[in-house]
Amino acid sequence: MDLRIERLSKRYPAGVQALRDVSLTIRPGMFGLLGPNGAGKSTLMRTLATLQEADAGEVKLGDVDVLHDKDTARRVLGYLPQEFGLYPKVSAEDLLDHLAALKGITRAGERRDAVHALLQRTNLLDVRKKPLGTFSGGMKQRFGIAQALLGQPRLVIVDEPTAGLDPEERVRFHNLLSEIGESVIVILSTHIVGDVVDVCRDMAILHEGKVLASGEPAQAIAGLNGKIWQKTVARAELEGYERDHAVVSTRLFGGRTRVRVLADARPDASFEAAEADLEDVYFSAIKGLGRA
Amino acid sequence: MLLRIATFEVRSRLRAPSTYVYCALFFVLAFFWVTVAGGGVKGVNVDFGASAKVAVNAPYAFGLLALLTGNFGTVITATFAGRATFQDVEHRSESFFFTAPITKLDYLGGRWLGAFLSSLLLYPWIALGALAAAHGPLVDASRVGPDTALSYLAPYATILVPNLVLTTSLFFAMATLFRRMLPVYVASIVLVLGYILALQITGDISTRPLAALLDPFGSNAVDRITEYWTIADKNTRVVPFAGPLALNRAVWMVVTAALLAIAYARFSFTDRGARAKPHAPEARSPRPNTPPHALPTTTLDFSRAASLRAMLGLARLQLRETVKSPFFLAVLVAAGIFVAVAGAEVDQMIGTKTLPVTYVVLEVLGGAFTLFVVVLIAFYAGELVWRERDARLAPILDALPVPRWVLFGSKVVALFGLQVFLVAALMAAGIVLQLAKGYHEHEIGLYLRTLIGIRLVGFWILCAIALFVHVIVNDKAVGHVVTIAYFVASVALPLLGFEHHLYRVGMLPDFKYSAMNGFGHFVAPLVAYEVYWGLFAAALAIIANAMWVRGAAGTLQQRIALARATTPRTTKRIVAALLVAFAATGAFIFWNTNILNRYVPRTTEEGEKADWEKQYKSWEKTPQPRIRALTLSVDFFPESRAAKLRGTYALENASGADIPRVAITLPQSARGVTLSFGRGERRTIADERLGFFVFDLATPLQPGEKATLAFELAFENLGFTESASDTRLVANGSFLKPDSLPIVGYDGSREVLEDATRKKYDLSPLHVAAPGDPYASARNYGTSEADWVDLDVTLSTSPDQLAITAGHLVREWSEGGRRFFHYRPEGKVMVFCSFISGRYEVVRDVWHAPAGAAPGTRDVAIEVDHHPGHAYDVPRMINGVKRSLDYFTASFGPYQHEQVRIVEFPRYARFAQADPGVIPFSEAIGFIAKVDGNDPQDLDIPFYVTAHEVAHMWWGHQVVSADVQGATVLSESLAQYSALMVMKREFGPVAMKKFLRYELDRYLRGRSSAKRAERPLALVENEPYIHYAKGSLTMYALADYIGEDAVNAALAKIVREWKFRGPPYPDARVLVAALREVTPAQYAYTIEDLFETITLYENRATHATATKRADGKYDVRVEVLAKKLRANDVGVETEIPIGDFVDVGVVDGDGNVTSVQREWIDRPAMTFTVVTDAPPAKAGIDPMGKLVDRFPDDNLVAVESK
Repeated sequence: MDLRIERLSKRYPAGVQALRDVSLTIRPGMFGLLGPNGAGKSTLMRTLATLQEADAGEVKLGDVDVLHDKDTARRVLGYLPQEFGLYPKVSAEDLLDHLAALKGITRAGERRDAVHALLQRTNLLDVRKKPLGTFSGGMKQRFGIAQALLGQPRLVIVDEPTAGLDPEERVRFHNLLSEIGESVIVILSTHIVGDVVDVCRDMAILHEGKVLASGEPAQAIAGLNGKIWQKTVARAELEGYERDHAVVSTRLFGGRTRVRVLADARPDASFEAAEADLEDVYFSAIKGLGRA
Repeated sequence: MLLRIATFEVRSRLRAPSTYVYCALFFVLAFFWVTVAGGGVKGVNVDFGASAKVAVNAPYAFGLLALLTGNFGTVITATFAGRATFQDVEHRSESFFFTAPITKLDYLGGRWLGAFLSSLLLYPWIALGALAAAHGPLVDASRVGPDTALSYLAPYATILVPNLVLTTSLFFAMATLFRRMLPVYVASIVLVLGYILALQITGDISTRPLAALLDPFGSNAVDRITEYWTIADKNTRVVPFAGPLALNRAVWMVVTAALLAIAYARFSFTDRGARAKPHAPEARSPRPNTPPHALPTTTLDFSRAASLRAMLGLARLQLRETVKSPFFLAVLVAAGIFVAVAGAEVDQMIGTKTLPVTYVVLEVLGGAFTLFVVVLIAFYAGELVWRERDARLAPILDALPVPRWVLFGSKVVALFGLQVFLVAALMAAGIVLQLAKGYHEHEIGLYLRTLIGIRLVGFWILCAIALFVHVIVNDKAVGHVVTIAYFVASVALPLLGFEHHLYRVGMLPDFKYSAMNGFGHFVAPLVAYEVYWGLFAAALAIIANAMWVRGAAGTLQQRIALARATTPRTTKRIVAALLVAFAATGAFIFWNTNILNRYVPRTTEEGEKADWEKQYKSWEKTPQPRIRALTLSVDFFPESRAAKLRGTYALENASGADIPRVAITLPQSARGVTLSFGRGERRTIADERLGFFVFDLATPLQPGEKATLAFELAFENLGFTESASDTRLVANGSFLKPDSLPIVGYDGSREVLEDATRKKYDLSPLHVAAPGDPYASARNYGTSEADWVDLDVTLSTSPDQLAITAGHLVREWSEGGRRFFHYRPEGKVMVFCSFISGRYEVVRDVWHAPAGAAPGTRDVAIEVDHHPGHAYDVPRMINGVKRSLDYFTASFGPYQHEQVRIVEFPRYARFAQADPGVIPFSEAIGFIAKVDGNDPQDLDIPFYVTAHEVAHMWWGHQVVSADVQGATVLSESLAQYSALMVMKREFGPVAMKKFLRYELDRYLRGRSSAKRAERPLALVENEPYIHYAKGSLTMYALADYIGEDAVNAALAKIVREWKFRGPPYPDARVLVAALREVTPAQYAYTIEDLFETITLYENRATHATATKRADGKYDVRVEVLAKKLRANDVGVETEIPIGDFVDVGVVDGDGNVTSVQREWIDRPAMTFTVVTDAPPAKAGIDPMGKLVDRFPDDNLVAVESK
């Protein structure tokens, strides 16, 4: 069952065009939606999660019209919003049970088992009796994924889940996601390239409401192979390089600046060849490099 | 820094559009208030506590306005002050401020100041609205006085700004301490409760100081200061910041300061983390993730039944959360205190309590409590609608596979459930209250019918409306203001002349429960309106459900479009069906209220009165025949609430001229009218709307010629009416007053009385004829078209009822399944008689004429016809009759009837009256009084009312005044005096002190809010505060000066000379002359002071010392100040030299006067020595309060021992 997004557009009353003609086809597995802050990722995610109206376009999950038949879409949906709160005085177990009932798991025994399994899976079993107000950011995020996985969703949407997590928590979170991302569609939005590299089979880059690139990360990287050159320069020279070359990224490295540029051939001898990575894909896409 | 923070806050407020909405609200509120008070809306006379003689822009009037609009503003202040710190909690912006280099004082002080200034910025709009209205085209210029800056500014200084400091601080402290908004709203509810509570306990004079202190808004303190202000005071004086007001402000400022101090002390930039509980310990060593086994499969159930269960589950959760919250508990505790205090003051009259019968308890609790519940509904509707979004759980919940109606429905059910909880709590409170007062007849059925059948349904309708508002507005704070504004508007609409409940959204009509008649005919309109607004509320709920915000909100247009697109066709059809049913019910109501019956809003009623006068006043002095005899039959049909009257007037031309045309005035509600003189007359005017008919006689009635008028008319009740429901004809306790009969000639009593209202209709002020006016002296003031009349009445009614009217029962029989009663009084009487039918239990007794009584005195049968459950006070009434007959027959002369019959009527009206030998007596003013026989201060109200009415058998039925100024002195003032003397004899003078204090209160308050110019007692124009209250004080004082016997001798002489006489009728001059005759020379001045002028005193004791004498007695030296004043008709008082006999006395610890001596006072400051046996507690001037003193509480001063 694929998720097909066709020419989806959204403009906010304030005039911001959040999505322009977004079309994507997403197959089961982990899908990374990459883009800088303000790219329209959350708008897209909320729209897919039935919480935002679109101005135009169509979203189909298999046969289900997500935009217009929201109730049906919600039955197969798991959603972890970018920002959310939890009732601070309720225990993890109780809230999860409550949400499970609302997800349609009405048989008490099944619900208990599902809640137990999810708490175990998200490593929250030990703290299941604790009030949610005492949870750390990572625990809260794991609780969020637990609730998103209730009721065997076919489409799981996780919006910037790793922001604010420490590296260890992040790894754990990725593992958790990739486990589930085998038979269902998991869409992960993030502005961290590493998140996509680590876990996603497919990806798309969204910038200013437009899809700039989409496909498998490896394929995208392959497109840049042999075209990325790097050089370490003094900070004062940076401006000149940015003027003369298609600079993909600059990064401080041990106090000096390392410039990566995109060019079909080595710009000059001072550059050395570099292996292209997803970050190059991302930055060249959002900077509009390598296109006419 | 503090100022910078404050200005930043104010600037943010100024950028919010809602701020301007609030300004507009204040402006509009003030504008309407002043416009309505200024008579700008024709037909609506509301003075909001300031009389029509007080200019709309007078300091006092604007003060009242400022107070009430300020109270309304509390809702807005709650938002401003609460959010002052809560905004950082809500937006997670705390850390920016808490880490900034600012001090706690900067932060808290700046935010407080910002909130305070923001609210303050709204307040000038009250004054601007008032100013605009006062000088607008709608308000009559005569109602506007000169604008003084002080009158607009002073209320800000004494009321508005202090209140704002208080409310801002309270709300600020709440939000800062609890980091939530709910406690803020709870605090505002508690404030409102405090205000209502204070209002509740002002009925009893002794608790007024407490009320002045308790009221957090200070309005009861203002009332305490201004309660006895004259009209002139109100027009010119600014409420001084002194006395009770200053005390109130001081106390509340201390409370405020304490709250702020606590908030300041408990607040810390750093303890957020510390206070947040430590993170749950977690097995930190990452157990390598559990092996990736598949999650258990679950069965998903999306059936309707599952959704319903989910909805109820959600509702239960939210209800439990609400009810278990400590803030709700706080509200309940506050409500409990309210019940305890308000319940303790189940007041009746003059400080005497009533039995806590269920309907009284329900009215005390239900009435004031409703306001409280309404505020609660507004706030909790907002809390529920915003619950998930406030917890930021909404994005998760909104994406769950539950239908929208599950989410919204759970809110509805939770809020409905909360009402059930409140209503149950109310019932429990009522029963506990009854038990606490030792009353055990709980009437559970009545509780359930009132609380569930009426209150709960009404609350539910309001719940649906409040939820609708919150969903549509989609902004919590604005939603609260809109909801409260809606409530205010629905209550205020009638003030603007919009009275019909058909368009007062969610409002149910009033009802009155009576023990005699149950809910009676109020049931039909109540049920109809419950269905009507219930259908409407259901439609609103479905629409609100469709508009329920799930996910991102979008603009209102987008939401409407979305709601349309996502609502299934069947749902739309249901809404349409509900609206059609709503319209159909509305049509049914309209058919009842406006087609079957006449809908007469106050505007129309007033206009008709004016029309009446304009069209027919010329008939007033056109000679008309006088009624000499009345033969009447009245048939009651209680089941259908109808009555049929058939009768004959024997008429006589007593004027000196021919009468060619006879005018007849009929009640406007009369139907099926036939009028016939049987002498070839022609009907030339037939105004059915106003009830005026004129017949041209074929041959004029010659002077002295007799004629008969045969009439037939019926009263019926079809369907139900809007507000003014017919309480004359009911299933049990029908009570047709004398005005149900045709009147020969023009009926002056229908005219508009108030000067201000008359002016609106271009009518010049009414003048009651002066004593001696020959036209008016030929008419008595009770029944102006008849003199002494032969009366013969046959009544019929249902077989289970008794029918009663004036006179003794000649015969009683049954015929055709109906009961008949034939009554005929001995001798001629005033046709001032009522016709009553009800199911009664009859208690009989006899008053035996004492041996040696005056000739003509005979035994009198006593009968009390009372509702079977109302035997409580019957013995007191019978005792009242007997002691009255003892006193009156001995002092004034024989009683003229064979019986005194007291007949209870339902509590739709609160009065008793005297018909010839019969006393109709309201259920509400003595049948459930709870007199404490052991407390000499607790007045025996049933006894008092009975004595007053029995006295009318002399004053009004033997001696009746001409229809001139001072008429009611001969009836009401003398009846008060007579009752007072009987009471004094029965209960002793101690009880009189309290009675007189209440009469003084009534008089001073009455003159303070009088709608017409005040006149001296002897020239009273039917103002109750003068003829009852001042009458009591005057006659009691006179009896005290010249002796009871002397007064009674004068009165007996009047009876001898004027009994059953007239025309011409006597007037108050007769009384004044008779009293003057018996008054010794040294007291001659009192007649002028008491009867002929408006005289007041400002007496005060300044110092008292006691010295114990060798013989065990005490010499008490009292220093007193005395001042005597004369008032003109607007209350402007001028001091006149004093030269009066005034009591100087000593009071013991129990408040009993132990020694009193009458002293000649001719200087403003004097010192006296009084000797007393008992240890003195207080001493001073006029200890019994016999003189009219505007500051009666400073007459006594504590005695110091030497």
